[in-house]
Amino acid sequence: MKRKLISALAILSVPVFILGQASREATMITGQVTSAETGEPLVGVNVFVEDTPIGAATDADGNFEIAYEATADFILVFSYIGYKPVRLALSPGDMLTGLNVALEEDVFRGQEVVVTGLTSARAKDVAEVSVSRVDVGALTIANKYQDFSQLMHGKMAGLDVKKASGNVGGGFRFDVRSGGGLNGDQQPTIYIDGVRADNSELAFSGVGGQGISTLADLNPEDIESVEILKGPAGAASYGTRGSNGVVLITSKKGKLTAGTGKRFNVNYKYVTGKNMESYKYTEDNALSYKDANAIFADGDIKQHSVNLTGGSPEARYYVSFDNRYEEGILINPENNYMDRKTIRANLDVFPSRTLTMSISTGYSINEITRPNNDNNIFGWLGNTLLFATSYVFTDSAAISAIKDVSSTKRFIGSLKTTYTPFPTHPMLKGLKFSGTIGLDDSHVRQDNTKSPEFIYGSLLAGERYATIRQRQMFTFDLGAVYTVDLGGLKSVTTITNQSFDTRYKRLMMDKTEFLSSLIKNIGAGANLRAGDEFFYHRREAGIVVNEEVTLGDQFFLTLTGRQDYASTIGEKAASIIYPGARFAWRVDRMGVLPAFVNMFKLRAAYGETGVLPELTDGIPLLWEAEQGGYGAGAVLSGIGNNELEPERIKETEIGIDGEFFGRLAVEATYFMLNAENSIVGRINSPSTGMIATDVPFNVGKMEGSGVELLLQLTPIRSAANRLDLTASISTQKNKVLDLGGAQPIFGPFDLNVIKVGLPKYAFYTKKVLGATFDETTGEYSGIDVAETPDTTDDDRFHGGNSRPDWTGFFSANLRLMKNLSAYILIDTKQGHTIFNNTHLFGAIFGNYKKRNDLAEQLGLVADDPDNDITPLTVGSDEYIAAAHAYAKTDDGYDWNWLEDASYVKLREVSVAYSFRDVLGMLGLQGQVSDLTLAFSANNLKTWTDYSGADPEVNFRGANDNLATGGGARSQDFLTLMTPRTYHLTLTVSF
Amino acid sequence: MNNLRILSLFISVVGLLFFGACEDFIQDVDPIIDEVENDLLDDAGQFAFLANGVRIRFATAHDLLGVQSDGLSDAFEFDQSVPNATYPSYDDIDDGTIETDNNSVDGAYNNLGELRFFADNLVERADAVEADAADKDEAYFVGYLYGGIARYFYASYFGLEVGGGGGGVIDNGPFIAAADMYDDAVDKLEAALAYATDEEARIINSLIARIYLFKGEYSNAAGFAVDGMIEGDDPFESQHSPESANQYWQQAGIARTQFVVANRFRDYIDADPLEAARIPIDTIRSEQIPDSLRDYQVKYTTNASPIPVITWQENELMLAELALRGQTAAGDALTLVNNVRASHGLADLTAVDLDVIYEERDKELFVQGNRLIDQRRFNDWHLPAGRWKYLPITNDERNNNPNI
Repeated sequence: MKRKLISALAILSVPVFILGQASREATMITGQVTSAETGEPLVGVNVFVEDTPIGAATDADGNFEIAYEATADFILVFSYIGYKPVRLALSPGDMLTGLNVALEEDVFRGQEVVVTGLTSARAKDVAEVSVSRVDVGALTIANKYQDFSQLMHGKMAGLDVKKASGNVGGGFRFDVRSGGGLNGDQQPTIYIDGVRADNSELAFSGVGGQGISTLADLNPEDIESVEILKGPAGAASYGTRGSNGVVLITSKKGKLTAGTGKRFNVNYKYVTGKNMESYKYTEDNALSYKDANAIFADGDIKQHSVNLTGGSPEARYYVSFDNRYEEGILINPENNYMDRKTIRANLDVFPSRTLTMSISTGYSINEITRPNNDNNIFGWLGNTLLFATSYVFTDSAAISAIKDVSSTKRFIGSLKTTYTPFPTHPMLKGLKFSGTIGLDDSHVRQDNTKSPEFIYGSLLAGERYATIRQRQMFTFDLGAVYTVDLGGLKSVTTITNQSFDTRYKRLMMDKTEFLSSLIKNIGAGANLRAGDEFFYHRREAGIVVNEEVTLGDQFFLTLTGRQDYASTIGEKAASIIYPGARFAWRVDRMGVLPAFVNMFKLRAAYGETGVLPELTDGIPLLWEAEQGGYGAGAVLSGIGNNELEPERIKETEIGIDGEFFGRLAVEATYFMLNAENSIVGRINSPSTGMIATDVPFNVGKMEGSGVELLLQLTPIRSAANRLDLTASISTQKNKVLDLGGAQPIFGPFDLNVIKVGLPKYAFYTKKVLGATFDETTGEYSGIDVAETPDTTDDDRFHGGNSRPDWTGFFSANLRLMKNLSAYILIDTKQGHTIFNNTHLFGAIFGNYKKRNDLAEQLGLVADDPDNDITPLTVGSDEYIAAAHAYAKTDDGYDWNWLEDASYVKLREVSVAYSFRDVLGMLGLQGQVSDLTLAFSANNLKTWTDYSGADPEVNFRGANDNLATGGGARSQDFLTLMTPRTYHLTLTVSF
Repeated sequence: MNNLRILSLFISVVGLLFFGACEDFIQDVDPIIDEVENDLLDDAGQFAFLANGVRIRFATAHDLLGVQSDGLSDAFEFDQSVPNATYPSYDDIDDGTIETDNNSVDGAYNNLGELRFFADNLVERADAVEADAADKDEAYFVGYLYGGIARYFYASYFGLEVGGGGGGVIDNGPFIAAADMYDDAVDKLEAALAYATDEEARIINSLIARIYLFKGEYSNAAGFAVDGMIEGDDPFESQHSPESANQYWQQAGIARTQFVVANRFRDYIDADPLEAARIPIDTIRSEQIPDSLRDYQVKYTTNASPIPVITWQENELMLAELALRGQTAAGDALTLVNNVRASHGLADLTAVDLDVIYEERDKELFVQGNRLIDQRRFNDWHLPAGRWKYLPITNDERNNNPNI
């Protein structure tokens, strides 16, 4: 027996059992892979010869077979998700058949390679930064998701996902940690297989507030994993796009087929399901609650998904087709559905040992219809929740007849190659070049049609709004890496140029007065209400130099510098440099820790990034053409500042990662960030006339900090049964430190604010203490409004935050009797506030029973003989209490409608059964390798004190931000609840 | 050491290659198409484009100020029982309990700020650009005329505090009280006269006369009014279009009825059905709320309906009022009033006094934004003490102007 383990890592952590003798003439490598703890065979383990594409995957009995003509010593790698890989050093003369390898559980998933920067990736157990990862491929076996946002709820520490509404395909916010600095929309950058992807929310004509999410074009079934670098400490190498976090989506790759002789796998999924209302309105919401409940109906879900994967040592492929049709929860499904078709073809080619090519292509056709809701008199909720009498604004038939269709055609693809020019040269063998060309090319057409058969407010004879948006973004990465191993010191030096080229075009036209309902094209409208086009071309480029040092397998250090350039940067700063440094120490490898500590790592990271000014922010005055009663005329369109620089956000992160007893994994991270030079828009005083936009200044400063804790425990683990538990808590707090003397910046309704001393987008408004009383009569006389000690301010108080103080989730994965699995996910957000503007407007229009009753008790309205409410005696305790309660339902004060929206949600539940053994018993496994039936449910139950329908909506949608004239956060204004969803999935694998 | 040498060479070569290329790459972008930088408009060939911008902003300020000032006056009422009357900001305007962050007032005040700036900017540009004098005439005329009207709007519609007088703010300066602001308006309008046609000059004279009338300088008012608009002159109007919709139509009319008209307008018509010619109103009905019968204006029946700024009829009513206020040059008050009435087919009155003038103006200048000013002038205020009589200068001004 000859055994040589090259990797010290493998020696420390992996028990390897090799039985059998080697034969120098062997060309077939065979063996079996099992679980070290339970002894069960492991199916689908990747077994491959290191540094070559040659390999295979294990079959249902854990067996593998690889044809390989060994001419020199080589390493056979056994790799399997959830297990620590084994690297087995072999020689041509070894016995290469009957290799039995036992893999050990990897609770921490430490051996998974995670991306730690634009040009760096490390195994998670030596990564110097906190990288969160979701194995979507494993998750979607039993669970089904409408879109990417639904998928990401409650999966990662430090990530706060908030759906804008319950519209199918609707927008959502990703708030990572404290959400970067003050610039921009504070949304992370999204990469799909290395291509920067458009993550805009598209509203265009608007249906009250909600846009569609461009990420709804992605098919969750095609996603293998999602990783998030949460802030500048981890994402410094992403430069100006890294400050709000970087989300890296990896699509499924071709896999070698499990088993011998089989060249491909086919998986077919059939999904059926329902979207259902998740909340029932009651009289406490509105007197008209029955009408509000009547606008909901169950929406059908149908999905067909098929994928084909396989390959050979030279090439592997994954191709898929998916069609998901899904109706929302409103009674007119013809204007409340998403119909998404996606095609994906991924190909990895290994023409030689020195050249690799990865091709990733995805094409989607997505049709999303949006119902009217939110701040809108044509919406279902606005017509059933505001007035006690429903459909005062718009007739229900008229609402039903509104059609809003967004059709997207989108290609996202990339070609990545790596080339090692001198694989055998003693000094240059460590040199490798890599290049990626990627394209996200989308074409969106939106049509909003209001029928001339109905009256819509001012529209007496219909309207048609049509817009076409074309956006093309190229991603280019060109880099070189030089790896050198100097004994105990390994250095990886990379230099990469990353650049982006974006072209955006939009054409829109809006016409009214359609005299015939039979013809609805734009040409049939008599009245041109608006017609316009928009265009921009923007380029960004960055140079990243990265030095990664590994010292004796114990110490890991990475230094990063990025210089960014962009078409947008003002005259003051032609470019900006962002540095980063990270360090990790595998303490356990010192050998002094007790044996139950499988892994223990300390890490620290520092990084800087920032967000660029907007494209024209640096131009002092811009004029545009406006149409009016005199023809076209010049009006101001932008007030800029040519001394702008990108903002600079500095983040420090420290953390501890550990694995104990082979069953418990712990990740703990503390982060602290400071943003400076954040661009703050100051409105000029209107008397200057230069108020078309805010004027941007680099004056903003803010700080944020928080803790992220993740625990993973596997208390039960046997061949047939297994329980995995995951729990996480993340906190965040942030505070605006400086606005350069600017006044607080308010969003719509003067409520969310960016103000020194408060968290970003906190609620800040006049505070109602209760009622005032006439001194003589004791009668209710008005509202007692609190005053601040400062006599010069406008007496506003901090009324809560739009971001939660902490979020958490708990999940349990249970496998019983090998084939039955169950899963539950509970998530929570605590310490955030929602402005219930729905309720406020109900109160304005007399649709709030509590306020009406109080008015009657106080004698402010005539006593209604039809109810048992009697007027209270003026001056009595009951009268005084009622007066205070009445004051606190006054619609003139937003304070009265700020509510704690903390919640706990039973987010996901699923049960799945694999009929693999049954198929085996029936002798069908040769034809059908697996058959799985799964039931899953989403958004099952919410526990909250919030009095509205859903404590996680925002009427202005997802990307709304002060920089673009918005800034409403955590505001519920006739916003559609997120649905409860049920799915039944049948998966057949051939 | 060889390795280190290779490493440093590698970084230098690749680095030099990249860094040089980046600068060029990012600068090579196609220009924007929907906006233009300020300096490029310093060209006489652009004056017509700029002048139209001034007019457009005038129109968007004029209708907003009209609607809101009528809302604050006793001409309009915000009645929540009327379908689509939903804006709390209008409710507050109607009550005169207007917070300084009222976002509807923001709209009017911001449009007015832009109007003043665009007009003055056009004059400054005409001063700065080298071109033939004739090529600058339109720029000067439009710049001075609308610069004067903007100042008139400030003095007539805005105030700094409850109980205080009218006035406005120019370019981050201190509050300018109405008397001085009106004088500035007159200066601008007189400057515009130099570039005006005869008919335009009569319009400007009427506008100046109105300012003096509102200031209480009756002699000056009469002096200009006698040279003002004459019967047969077209009204001077703000022009609107579907893309710049008439806000009376949009917010207080057929399109959406946030404001209804006071019931006295129905009474005027009940008393004399011929009054419907100058008080076009209609009844709004709602099947859902049958008791919400109110009247709304139908003077502006489309989004493009023009709104009179001043008419020859107003000039004659000014002359009539001035005659009653002792300005003999103004003519005979009763003749003037009856001439105006006759233009609508209304019967002659037999006598006239200031009360009659006040009511005739209420009818004649229906939904033209004059009622608020008249109520103050004739001391006929309809709201309790402690309420606004002007639209408040907004928080954006108060917070960002160091002189306020």
